Amino acid sequence: MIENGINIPPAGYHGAYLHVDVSSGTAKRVELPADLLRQFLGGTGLGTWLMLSLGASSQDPLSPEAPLAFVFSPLVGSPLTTSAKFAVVSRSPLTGRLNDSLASSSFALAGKRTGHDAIVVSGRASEPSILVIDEQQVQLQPAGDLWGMTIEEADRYLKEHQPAGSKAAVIGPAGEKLVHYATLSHDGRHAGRGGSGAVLGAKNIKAVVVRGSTHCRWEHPEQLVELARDLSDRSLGPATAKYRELGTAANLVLFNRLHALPVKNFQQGQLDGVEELSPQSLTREREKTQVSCAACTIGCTHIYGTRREGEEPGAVRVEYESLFALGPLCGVTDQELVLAATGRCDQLGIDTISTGGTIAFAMECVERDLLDAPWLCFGDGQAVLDAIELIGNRQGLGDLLAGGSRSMAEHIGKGSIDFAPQVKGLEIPGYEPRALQTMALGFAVGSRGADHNRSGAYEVDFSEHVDRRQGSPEAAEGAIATEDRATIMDSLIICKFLRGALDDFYGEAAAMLASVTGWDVDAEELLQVARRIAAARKLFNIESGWTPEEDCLPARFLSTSLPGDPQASLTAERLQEMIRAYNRGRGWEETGFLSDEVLQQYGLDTLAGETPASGS
Amino acid sequence: MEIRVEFFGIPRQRAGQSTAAISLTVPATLATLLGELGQQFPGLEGECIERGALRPGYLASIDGDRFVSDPFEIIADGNSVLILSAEAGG
Repeated sequence: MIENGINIPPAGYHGAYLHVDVSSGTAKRVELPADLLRQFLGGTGLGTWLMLSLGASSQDPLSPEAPLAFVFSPLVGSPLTTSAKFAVVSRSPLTGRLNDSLASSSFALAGKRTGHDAIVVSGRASEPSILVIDEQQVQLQPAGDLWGMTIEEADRYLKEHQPAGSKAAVIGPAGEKLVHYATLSHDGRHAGRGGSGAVLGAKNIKAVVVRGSTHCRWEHPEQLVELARDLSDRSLGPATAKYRELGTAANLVLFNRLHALPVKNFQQGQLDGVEELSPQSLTREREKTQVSCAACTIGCTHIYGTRREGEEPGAVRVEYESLFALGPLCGVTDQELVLAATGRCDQLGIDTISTGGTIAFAMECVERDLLDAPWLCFGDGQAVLDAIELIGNRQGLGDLLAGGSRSMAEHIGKGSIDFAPQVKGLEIPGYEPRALQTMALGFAVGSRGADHNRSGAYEVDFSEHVDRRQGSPEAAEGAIATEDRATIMDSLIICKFLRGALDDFYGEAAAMLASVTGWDVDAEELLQVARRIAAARKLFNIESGWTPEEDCLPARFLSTSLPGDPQASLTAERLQEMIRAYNRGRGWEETGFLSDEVLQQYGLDTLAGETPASGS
Repeated sequence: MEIRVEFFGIPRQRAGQSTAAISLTVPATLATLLGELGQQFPGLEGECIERGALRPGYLASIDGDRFVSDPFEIIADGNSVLILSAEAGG
């Protein structure tokens, strides 16, 4: 809306992003028109638009020119539970494709209060620095002793040395050393996947500090408060009980029972002794505290005490993905060592899934005499810890592992790519694809690679609608539905752990957005927004070099059935049938390219670059 | 006949144990089994099970092979039935 020549942003938004060039230390405010915000919402959706419009697809993600965006959303700062989240979006150094990762923390609240819907950082500071942003100014300050500190140390230091109300997103030593799966973290929460920490590290920026007091208005505050109250009540109900009482770690024992637990670099689907890592065992043997993210009523974060011999007692946040990746995937079930490995990844600032996947791959390479590191053996938890240290500091073998499993396989050769546990370079999370074949489809077509957060296709497998071990094209519709829902949740942004509490997801999400913005948005419009963002992600990937051959799984999963569960087998032909059904279901060309009609339908034709989006 | 029941997630919390052996009269259905479980494990009734049916958010699986919710699903001698929280995300 424009009044007297002044652009009035929609309620819930500031109507602009801040673009900081850390090479020159300058910043400019760039307007975001209301219709654009309505088309891409915020979070990962708006982040995708920013990356397309800034030409990130053609830039080396670790070059000074490459943009990195912290993106907020219309719901950030509202009373809606779980809405204090931000997305970090860039081209990934790990995959070369679009990457978005999310974190929940008060960084989102403080960042939006600077008066911007997103903060884009490009350039490279002349020395290690911290970037400080408030409503009045943008400053680069020397990082000094901060450079080299762990995530926890840097977080604590900045809390003590920055003015009250400041919140900082920081990288650890791994981000400084450009480990391709380095995280960006705040307050114990991590934007974990895809290496956004390395992108910031390449800019010589240790931390981004934000503070401010500029609030957005809400169009219908009474309605919003009522919705928020109702949602908070439901967030405490049975739909989230598993997360509240046990945390995500509860998956471990069930997945093991179903042969769906990746073990020893996906060579098995079950492992004796995993009960040792169950939440029940952890709770029995350790002190536990439970905390919530900022503005969240669920409280899914379970923190367990550690007590390694010769070390001070500590505490580690436990999630299923960290347990599986640093435990069974590496053949380890020792509680103390798996928790220590998780904690060390968090301190160094590396993604636990990619770390575990890369180490497990290296272990199999050692087993096959493809890598000379006899100390790195399946089942050796101390070796996992040692490898983590090498990766985080890029020392010795760690320099090779710092590029991830695909990069390692390219270096080692000899067919090792067939068992490198990745799709598009992103290590596969804790869902054995042969045991959960709709999820296998979700991994194969995932825009950022093998991903359980942007696709919830496992939900289709955990239903009576499909045979989870014999995937079929009919499952594609369900896989698309979970992707679309995740896209809206990641763009609004609200936590996916609420999904079971939302009976009419699109209708309720539209009501939340309408109460904040005043838009007459409905369920159908939000579904179209999801489809637009999915196409925009594909457009970015095509422009960055994507080809249909990337939508696949490593040969291991397509040539051998799952040991211990012979019914769980998947062929390349069947996976391709599912992928074609997925692309047809999206309205794309069967190969996954985008026709001109699709680009026009979603208003993406003006964003398309010189690379043809169509394969024909 | 005797059926082995395995509990996972919240059902395990509410049952207070990880497995149970349940005696049923042939022919038995999922509803028969769930009704029996509700009686033997009061912690399940009302939250995971309600009058012989699974409540939203919970699933049953026969032998870990396939998920079922039809109350008329036949439970055969020798089956293991898994009762679990439906949310699998992490």
